[in-house]
Amino acid sequence: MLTRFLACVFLLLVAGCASYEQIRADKTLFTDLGGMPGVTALARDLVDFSSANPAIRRYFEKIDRDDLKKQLAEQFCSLSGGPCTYKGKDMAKAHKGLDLSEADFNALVEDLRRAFGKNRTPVSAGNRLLALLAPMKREVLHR
Amino acid sequence: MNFGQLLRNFITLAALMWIPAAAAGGKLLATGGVTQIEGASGGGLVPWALIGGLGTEDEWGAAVAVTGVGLNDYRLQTTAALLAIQDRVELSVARQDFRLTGRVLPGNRIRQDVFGLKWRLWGDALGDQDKWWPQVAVGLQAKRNLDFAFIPAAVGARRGQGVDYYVSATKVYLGALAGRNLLLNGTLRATKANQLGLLGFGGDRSDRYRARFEGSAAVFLTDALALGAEYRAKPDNLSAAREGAWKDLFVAWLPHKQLALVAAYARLGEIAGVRQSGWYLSMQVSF
Repeated sequence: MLTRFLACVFLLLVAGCASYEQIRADKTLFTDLGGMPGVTALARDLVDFSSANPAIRRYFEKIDRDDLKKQLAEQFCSLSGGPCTYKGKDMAKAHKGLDLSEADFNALVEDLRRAFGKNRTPVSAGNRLLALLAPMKREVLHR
Repeated sequence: MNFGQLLRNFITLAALMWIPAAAAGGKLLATGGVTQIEGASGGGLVPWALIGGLGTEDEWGAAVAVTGVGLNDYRLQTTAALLAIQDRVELSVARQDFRLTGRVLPGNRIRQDVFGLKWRLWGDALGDQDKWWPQVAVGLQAKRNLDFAFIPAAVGARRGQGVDYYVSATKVYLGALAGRNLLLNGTLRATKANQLGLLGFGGDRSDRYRARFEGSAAVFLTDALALGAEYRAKPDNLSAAREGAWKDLFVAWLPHKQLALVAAYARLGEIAGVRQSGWYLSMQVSF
């Protein structure tokens, strides 16, 4: 029993370790997110939800939200293997002076999950996009 | 403890949730884990490297939980609370109440208090998706058996107090299993405890610390619903009351960020000579 369990955990670990690289190299994610209309809708709803979210709306008050939606859509497209190049600032520069907390970052993730729900994004596509966005936490916090 | 009493405790706990939602910290759903049987954050049986509650790195968090386990000849209830400091340190306290309801010495009970301390060393189980390393924490559980003199002493346990030491590694792999999120945890525990300490510490077969492996695996079907399995190896110190590994299959449902409900089928091997299996129900409210 123990041997079987350990073997199982080991296999899962190996499968799991490979997952981030697999997801990054996965060209079907862009399609699964609904292509350009899909990522555009996700970016739009994310910015709309977050601009109305009492926990983090202050960060969205003085910025050009339409431009942010455009840049986010471009970034989602590029990250998910779509035919775009993200031309915006790098993540650390883009969040300079905001001094974002971990709770702020998580509030944004919750809003993105709401956007997945509204757009009926497949669970698996949403999770894979989050896997690509999660490491950005280190780059955007406390800048 | 009977089912009605457990239900009353659940309802009391649910009432706590009416404390304004503003009291909830900024962690993501499920990232504080649930409360394990000895009061630490983890799965049902195994402590994880996660820090409980909903507090992020600059907040404090907390959680309270009630757990009932119904076996062929026993009932176990754990009431637990934990305090989390800046997603770094977790302090927990739990009272276990083990009732003998069947073939072995019916009508008796054994109570135990568990004081836990957990320290997250490094890692972010969810955030470090591009890194191979897991979140790692070390912890201890100081246990005091309140009814040592009668049953634990009679089966040959050496003492009524003991401390378990453990190291846990936990990692979440987003989208890793058919696009679903996968959580894996491995824990190594040094312990002398007999049946968690409910039958005391040390015995005639061994009175030395033993390293024992504990593992958990869970798949999130949705963000709020997980299926999983756990395994917990234990020492076997008493020839009068042999013991084996504990296992369970669980479903965890988090209908709300602050509320977690866990139901499991548990197989707990022999306890005092009789094989035990049964249900496990737990409810946790987090802040």
